[in-house]
Amino acid sequence: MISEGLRTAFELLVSFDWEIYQIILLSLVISLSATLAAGVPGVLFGILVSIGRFKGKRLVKVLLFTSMGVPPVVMGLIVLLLAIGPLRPLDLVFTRTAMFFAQFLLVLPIIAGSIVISSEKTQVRVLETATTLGARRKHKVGLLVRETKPFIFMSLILAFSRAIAEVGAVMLVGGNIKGETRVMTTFIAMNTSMGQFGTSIAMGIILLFVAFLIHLALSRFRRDFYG
Amino acid sequence: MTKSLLGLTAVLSLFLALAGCRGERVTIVTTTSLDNSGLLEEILPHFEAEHGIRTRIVAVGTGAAIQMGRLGETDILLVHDPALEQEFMDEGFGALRQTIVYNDFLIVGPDALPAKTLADALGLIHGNLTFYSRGDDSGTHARELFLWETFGYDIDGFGGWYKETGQGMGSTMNMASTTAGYTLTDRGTYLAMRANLHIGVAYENPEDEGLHNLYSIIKVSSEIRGGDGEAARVFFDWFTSAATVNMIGEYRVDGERLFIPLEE
Repeated sequence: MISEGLRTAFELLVSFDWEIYQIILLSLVISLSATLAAGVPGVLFGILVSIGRFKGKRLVKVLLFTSMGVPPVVMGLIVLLLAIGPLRPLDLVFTRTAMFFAQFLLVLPIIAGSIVISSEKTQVRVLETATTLGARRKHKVGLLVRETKPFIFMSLILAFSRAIAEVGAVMLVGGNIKGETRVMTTFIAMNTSMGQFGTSIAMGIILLFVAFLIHLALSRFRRDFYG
Repeated sequence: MTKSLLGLTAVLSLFLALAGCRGERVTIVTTTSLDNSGLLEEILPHFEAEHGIRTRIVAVGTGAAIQMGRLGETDILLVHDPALEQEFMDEGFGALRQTIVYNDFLIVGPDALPAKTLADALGLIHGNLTFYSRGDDSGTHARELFLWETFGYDIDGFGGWYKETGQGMGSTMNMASTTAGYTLTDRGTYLAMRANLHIGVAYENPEDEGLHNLYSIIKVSSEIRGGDGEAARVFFDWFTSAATVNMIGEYRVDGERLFIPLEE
């Protein structure tokens, strides 16, 4: 089945079927844009929680870590209910925009949470050193972001991996509509439910191959991370 | 810490091993439409009590169901795509097949279509109204394609009003409900879901044979499935017996019968 999948994957790619390319492209565009868009508020929030000294910090962290585990299908349901309820006038139901928002919300806590988990100590140390050296507030922020960079990079990779791999949210809010909101994971789920296991495996292989290419590209200018 | 983790792993493994033990059991792969109707939950306990054989239901589209049958992953198929079923039998994968009951397909949507015939109804939808197609090689999808073709339409030329979801009956009907679209559904799933839908019957005609939906039971050949197939045969005989068919015919949701025995 796997070797048949490899062959089918190759056939899908060289058939230059526009539908297949559109599906791959849509997956990438939605997951990449959701990750990058969530990156800014996610990183800021992560840094604030890391260096902040405030009452209820423990609770905030517990809540943040909990929300890292929100099942995609639940996030999809929340977005869908918003789209058919209060946000009805925006006409978001079964659109690419809704898929973007669902993934945006899904990865936001993952970015913020993983920054706290990985670099809280580093950030606190950087801040202390900077304060001891008498750095200005403006410089402190710049310093923090610079020192946290590898951790930011890691959190974005985590977030993108989660986004590109999830099926529950995009299936619910996008609806897997052919030529409109079908992405790699919903394509795989659909073909599996149709008993076309070979095609499913093929698209799974393509998904991994695309992720491989992205990491290959990233590894060229982030040698510290991949070296 | 390590010790307690090891202990936990041991307990979990034991649990999995025990859960894997199987008594006599019949695996039934059914279409989502039949599963959504709630019929099997109602009647299968009678079988289990009578024969002491446990049952296990897996609900997928008819296309996938047939595929699982080919792979020998199931004892029984409950499906509704006569053409595919015939092919399955011709290829030698099935040992026994019997068509038991039928219900009808209907078009659901936000408004009743002012149509006297099915052709009129499809004509009103074509190009004007959002229509969700299952698009998943299911029995319902096969019928929908057949109907468009019968009335002279070419699906390849359909525009943005025609949306293929590639999902099950329940999900597709929910999508139609959320966006005030139309779709073709079997009556059973519609009745089972009616309470939660914002759409209703847009066109129905139980007399039109083009809208008849035939359900069959297939016992997968023992050579394909493995084992002696005895439990599966007992199930097949029970399911096709007059008493069971009668029970299926009497099954009601909100006072409405979902399935009509072929004999009636």
